[in-house]
Amino acid sequence: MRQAAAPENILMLNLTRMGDLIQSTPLLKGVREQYPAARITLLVGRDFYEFSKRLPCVDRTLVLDLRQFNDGRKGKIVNWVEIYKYFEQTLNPLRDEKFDLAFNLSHSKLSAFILSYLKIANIRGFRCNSRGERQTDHPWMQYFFTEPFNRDFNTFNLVDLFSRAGDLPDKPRSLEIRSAPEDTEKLQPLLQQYGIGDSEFLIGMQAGSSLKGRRWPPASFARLADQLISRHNARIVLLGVASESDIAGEIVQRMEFPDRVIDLTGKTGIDSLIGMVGRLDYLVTNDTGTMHIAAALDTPVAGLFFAHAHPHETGPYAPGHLIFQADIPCAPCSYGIECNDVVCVRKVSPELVFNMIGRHRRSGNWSLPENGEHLEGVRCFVTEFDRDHCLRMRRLNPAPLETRDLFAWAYRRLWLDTLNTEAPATRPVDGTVEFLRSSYRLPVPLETWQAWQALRRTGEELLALAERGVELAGSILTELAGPRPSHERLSRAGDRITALDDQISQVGLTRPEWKPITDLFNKRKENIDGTDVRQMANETRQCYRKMKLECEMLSRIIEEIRDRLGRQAAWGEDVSSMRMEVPGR
Amino acid sequence: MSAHDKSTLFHKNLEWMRPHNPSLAERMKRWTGSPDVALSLSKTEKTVPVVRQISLHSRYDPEKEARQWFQNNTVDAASFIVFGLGFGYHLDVLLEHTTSSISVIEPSLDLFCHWASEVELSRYADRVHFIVGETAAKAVSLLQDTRQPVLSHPPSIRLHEAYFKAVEAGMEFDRLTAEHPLRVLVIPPIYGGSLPTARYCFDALEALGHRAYWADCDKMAQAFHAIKGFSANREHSEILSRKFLEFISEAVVARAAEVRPDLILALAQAPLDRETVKRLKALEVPIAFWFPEDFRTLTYWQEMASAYDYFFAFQRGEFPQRLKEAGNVGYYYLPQACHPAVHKKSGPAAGLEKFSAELSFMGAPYYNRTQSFVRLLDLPFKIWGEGWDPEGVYGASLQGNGKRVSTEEAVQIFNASRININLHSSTFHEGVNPNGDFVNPRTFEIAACEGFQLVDCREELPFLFDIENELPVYSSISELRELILHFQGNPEERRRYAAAARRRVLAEHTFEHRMRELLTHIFIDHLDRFKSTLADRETEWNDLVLNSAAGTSLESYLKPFKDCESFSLKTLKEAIEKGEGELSDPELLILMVDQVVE
Repeated sequence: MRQAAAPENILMLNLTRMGDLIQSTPLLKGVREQYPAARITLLVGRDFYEFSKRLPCVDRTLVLDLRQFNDGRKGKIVNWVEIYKYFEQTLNPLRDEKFDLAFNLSHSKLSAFILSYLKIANIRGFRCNSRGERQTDHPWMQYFFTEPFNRDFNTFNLVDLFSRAGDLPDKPRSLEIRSAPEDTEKLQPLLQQYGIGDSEFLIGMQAGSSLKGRRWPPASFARLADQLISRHNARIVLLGVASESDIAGEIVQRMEFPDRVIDLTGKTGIDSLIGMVGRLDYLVTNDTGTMHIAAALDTPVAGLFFAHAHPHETGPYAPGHLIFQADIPCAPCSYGIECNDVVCVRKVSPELVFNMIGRHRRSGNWSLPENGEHLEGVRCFVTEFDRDHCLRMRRLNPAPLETRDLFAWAYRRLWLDTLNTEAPATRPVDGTVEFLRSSYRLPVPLETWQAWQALRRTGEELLALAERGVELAGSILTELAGPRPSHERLSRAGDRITALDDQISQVGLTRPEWKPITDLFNKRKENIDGTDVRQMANETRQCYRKMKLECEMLSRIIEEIRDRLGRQAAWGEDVSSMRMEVPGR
Repeated sequence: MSAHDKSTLFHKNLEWMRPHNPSLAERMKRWTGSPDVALSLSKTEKTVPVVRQISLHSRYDPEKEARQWFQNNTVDAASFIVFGLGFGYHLDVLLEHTTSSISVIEPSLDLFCHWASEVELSRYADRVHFIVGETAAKAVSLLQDTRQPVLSHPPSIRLHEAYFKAVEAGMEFDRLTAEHPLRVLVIPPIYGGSLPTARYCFDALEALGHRAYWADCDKMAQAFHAIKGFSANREHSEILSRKFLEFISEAVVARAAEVRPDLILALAQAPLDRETVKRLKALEVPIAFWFPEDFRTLTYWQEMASAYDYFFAFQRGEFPQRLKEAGNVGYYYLPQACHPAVHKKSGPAAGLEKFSAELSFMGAPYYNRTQSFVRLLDLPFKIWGEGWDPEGVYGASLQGNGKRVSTEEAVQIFNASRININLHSSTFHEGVNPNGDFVNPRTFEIAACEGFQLVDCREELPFLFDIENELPVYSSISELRELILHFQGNPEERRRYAAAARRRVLAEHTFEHRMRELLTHIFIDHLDRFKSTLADRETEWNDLVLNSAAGTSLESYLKPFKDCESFSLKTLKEAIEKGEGELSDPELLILMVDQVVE
């Protein structure tokens, strides 16, 4: 635990969407276990208030209703004054409640401003500093902030990031949605209405998603549905909100067997949706809130992740779900991208999904169709937990281990070993190596190790810069400890540190493989605030020390992976570790 | 007093006045007397001036009258303003019975000169500030504080009723704008010499507490130049340029409509045609033009003159008449100035070695300069600037490869040169222009940097500086050479001149001074309209914000923003971003609102 006294009044701010709410449930449960006597208040947006009642371990749910200001807010001053008043009237009573711990599980500036306004001393997640910039103290939250800029190198699910940011003990976790009698009560009439029997093979399809570019084409859903109907005599349930009815209509219109389809888009409330998803045999879905409901209810998911959707981050948090993602260089694309040729959605064929559902139905395991190991243009993952109880995506169609993936999995080890740990130390890489063997094709391409050789030198460069930073920060402390600290010398050292930090950033920008470390370094440095030069110099030195350690440890992890995988593979003498200088050896 | 005694005293006073107020001293020097003022003697043998049959003091006992006046106008203030000098009897009583400092505003130079022929001005030195023969706007801008109490000398008011009303209006405007800043849209040229002037005007307006808005004409420069080269056909090129200028004009109109200014200030060569100015007039605010260019060289003012409501220029002489003939009746004299935030003295560690020089000139190779400076080539002479032929006679003197000198570099050059040469440009004189009138920006800029300069004599110069003690002037290149040789060996004298010149420009010739005078001049005419605009804004404010925000923390937070153009969230957000220290509650709430609206 990071704080001495157990908090009694905890605020959980979650102004995000349904999926994110469900993904926060392991944290809610963990917080409840840690602080059984505390009152947990959840603050949510209006749209998800009803749903939030299904979240576990919440004593009270409050609503921030910003939806009411949706109309006609442009131009007229009076409107924003109304918003201001609403914020003031809503947040002032909350501030008076004097929460002693708050969690903010979003990157958003709005949530950071709200938490700063509430003046809560202990905040996990983002608040803003005196300049209005977002800031967070917790190492895993700092990581959460830098991760979107280094998505290629992130393999953590948000649930694990949140759990670690909550300092929850290391143990298996699961999503949870509280069941209610209404689930069955509301479901039964639907089942009766559509004549769905108990033994019916029921496939749910969630063809919509919040962003249009992330959707598998209706034609693909239609084709998959027809195949499932004709070969498995399945009934297809189309799920979604009312605005997604057009998509459902298009699917039905394209199908050969539309009479086997039940279009429930816009017809389900929270209760009936939860009831129905729990009743499904499979859910085929884009990255949606419905997918997370399925994960919480143990309904097997065939998840379709396109465009910005990143399965490592937001995949269904439970073992045994299937994920598809296009295997093209631009996938996943960056947030904010508006693609004018969304080719990724066409990389996953309905036949593949159909085939894999069929195999799973027979065996209870996800497996590739025959000769499926060499599927082109698509990544098939199955979700599983690793030895650290973190979710990961194991590839069913192994691919060559490229530099990007080598770093991504090495980083996973590094962050688990270093972030928020009193005594960072490299633990054995056995689990990682074992995973890589199962998920990637061996031998590792020679190009990967050659690339590593060059990148290792970059790491050494970065390490030298970090050492230089430690020295410079030390020189400031020495100067301050002297009888008459010279402003000029201090200012010169400050200038040198600025120049050094520019160099560090440049290394990250030119060698993206090292950018997660340089970004995290920058994030930590942004937190250094105030007027106490001695304290600031100390914190600065600490930032350099952490970066130095991370550089050393990452290199060591990759070297060990290389040694372990290298023994299995036939790769050249010229890249043998015996001839390499490894930092820390 | 005999005529001789009067003349002696007058000249003594003139010399006393020069360092205090060069402009007044120069006008005294040029005073030739006037039949308007008749002097008579009172029964108590005191001089009483009579102007247009109005006696300015009692013909019986002006001193007794003054004492009574004082009793009727008892004041208790550290300083106050007196409207009307007369022959100073009331002033003497004030000085005798109070310890206050006094600003005396007297519109008649004639009367003052008569008075200065009979009294010793030095006795007023410590406590009286004479503001004589100035325009109403200038008089107001010379006042330290327009909130001081005013004492009127009734006969003077009777004599100059309109003038003092204008001064009162100017003072009221000054007081009003201290609470309610003006919104001024500055329209700069796309490029050229008046662009820095426009920037300095903008800065000065802001420094005076007004809200200045910039029309981004200068950002169009690259495109404007590119368009010029778009077609090899001159006719096509001209049409394209004209179309582009029309486009910029359109952008300026859009900006003006958005800003809703109280005043539009265009600088010389602003990309506005008559049609655009006409459209801007639809906003029903005064449109002023400052033309700090030589009207004889740049003649396009003739076409534009009648379009503007106010035309500020740094030349006098025949120009007002020429302007009138071209259809403009809003002429006002406004000389150039310095911008102390930019033109400043360098510290000891400014890294000036690169620019250090015994003798230097910074500027373009106008004809008179190329003809004159050969006379200096045997001296350690350095030239900075664009356009000089590196292969020609000045090649060895040319510095920095003849590249364009930035404002910052110019400041360094002025600082680092022992002697700066300032020779006003001419395209046809061989040396000094004997009829040169206006004073160039460089004169003020070098002075503000506390650089030492030798400047060619200009008609306006003695009105702006005490040239005997602040700016050594030359009227020929031979004189320039002599001065250089003299001052090379007299560093202490150089320092004294430079320091005195700096004091002068900082006290009287900054852009803040100019803008204050310009605004006062315009709004003396538009005071009622401005007051009505303020009332409208008050209503708008009350309706839209205060009623709505009443009782919230927003109410008090918004008060300083009362005079913003729209209280937009953007304005508030920018203010928060510029602010320092911890974010306050209202600031955090506004940032939240911004996120929602965004």
